[in-house]
Amino acid sequence: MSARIEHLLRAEAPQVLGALVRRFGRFDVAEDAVQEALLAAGRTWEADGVPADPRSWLIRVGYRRMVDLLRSDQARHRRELEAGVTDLAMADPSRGTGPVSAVDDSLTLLLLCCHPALSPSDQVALTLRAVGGLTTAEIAHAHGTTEATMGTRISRAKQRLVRAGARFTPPEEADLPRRTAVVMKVLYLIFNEGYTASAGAALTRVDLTAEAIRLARMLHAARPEDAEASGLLALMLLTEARRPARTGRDEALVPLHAQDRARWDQALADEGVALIDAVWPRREHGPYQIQAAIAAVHTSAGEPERTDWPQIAVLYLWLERLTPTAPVRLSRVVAVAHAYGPARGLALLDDLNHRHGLETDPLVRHRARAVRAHLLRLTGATSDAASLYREAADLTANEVERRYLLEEAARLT
Amino acid sequence: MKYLLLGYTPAAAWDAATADAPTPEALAAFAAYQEFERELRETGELVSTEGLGHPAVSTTVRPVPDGVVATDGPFAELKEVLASFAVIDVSGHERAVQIASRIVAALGEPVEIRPIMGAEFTA
Repeated sequence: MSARIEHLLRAEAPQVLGALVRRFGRFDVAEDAVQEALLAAGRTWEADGVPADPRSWLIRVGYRRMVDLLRSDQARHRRELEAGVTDLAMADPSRGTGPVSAVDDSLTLLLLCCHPALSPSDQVALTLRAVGGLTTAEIAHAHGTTEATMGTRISRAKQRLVRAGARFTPPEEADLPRRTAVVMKVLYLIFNEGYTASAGAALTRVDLTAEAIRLARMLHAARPEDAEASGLLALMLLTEARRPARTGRDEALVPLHAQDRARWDQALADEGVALIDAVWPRREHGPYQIQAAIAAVHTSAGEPERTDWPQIAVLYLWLERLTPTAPVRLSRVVAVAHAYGPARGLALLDDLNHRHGLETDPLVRHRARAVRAHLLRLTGATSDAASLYREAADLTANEVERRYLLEEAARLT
Repeated sequence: MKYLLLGYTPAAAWDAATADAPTPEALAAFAAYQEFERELRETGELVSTEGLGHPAVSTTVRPVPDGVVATDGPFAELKEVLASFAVIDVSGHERAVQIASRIVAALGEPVEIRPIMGAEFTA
């Protein structure tokens, strides 16, 4: 399938699903029908050309598939009679469903797929399929699982939505910020899944990051008044901008300070900085905006030595108050060490480790060791640093990171 | 006087047609019907007319002891199902039958005429 058709289908998927669910209900069945319509389009458009009104085409085919699915559901027992007269109401395209709905259903769909009744992994899978228009096979591939497993997960998630009485209607205005927050969490999760594979050799999964950015753009367009939605998009763009410089030869990891900044995607970076600059003065700061602001400070420094580390340290302190998590604490240690020297960094690491057990936290224990190793090296304690790098390497499942840590250790001995 | 015209179609035919393109004969019949529809609009006798979705996409709402419940699917499983309707506003029953006859002749499917009860019959 050509990239143009694929892009078109991805963009239309939520609109087509929205049109079918709005009219007929039955999100679960409609979602399957849209998936089949997308597959049918992918097969035929390449050869026959893209129809004049692709959305109407998809809605029509999706509707037919929906009727078929419902019919086999409802009337399995009914004997098929001999085919006779063609149905006329459906036959003439000009008498179809009328003008295609101009309502943008993507936000409603996003909110539905990120329903609180679903687990985060179900929310991710369903969002990718129903809103992102990815096939079950693509989602399965991106998560390193089989198509059958992913298909089962998606269909169970849909059943759970039906049981939870989830409806295809926007939530109450008062409920919207809370529900939007879940959507942002899911999109950021998708982005991070794409950005750093937690296991395996490939450091980046381009498709998922691109998909997350596309969906974050969609969310930002639907909720321009939500400062955090702007912040999330800015954060993704600024992070993605560094991707070309993040891996060197042999897919080796290149840390931020050593990255060739000329290889950063300047257009993405500019867009991200502009977004966060525009939204920051609203003073509705949240975790995504603060993280975007940190990324923007890095981006604005022409070279690593000119990074405004004291400002980054303050932003991390702010972020830690809003989201007191181990990775944020560790990042603050790094920022403080850059701003005020490795001794101050080590002191803060000791303090945070003492109070919050960073070196036993399974999420960051390898990174906590890597950071300590780095700071020890800067103070001259090279042999301690080397053994800590090796400990860190043993604790990570990411092949690329592991190799990087072992190389650092080797350099010290 | 208003009448509701209910157009029926065999369920099996509809099911068979969902996946396929209509035959040229069916398209020609439909074109003839549309021409008649235009005539009725000009005389002002046609109030409105619409084709309906497949019965499979219908939802039936029923009363139950503790409220109402909506279920997916048609009210009843029938061999002949409602496929379209029209509301006409005509001089009387005889004209309604005349109109329905022309529709049936064009489309080849049965039409039921139901008088719409005006204020004079409800008192």
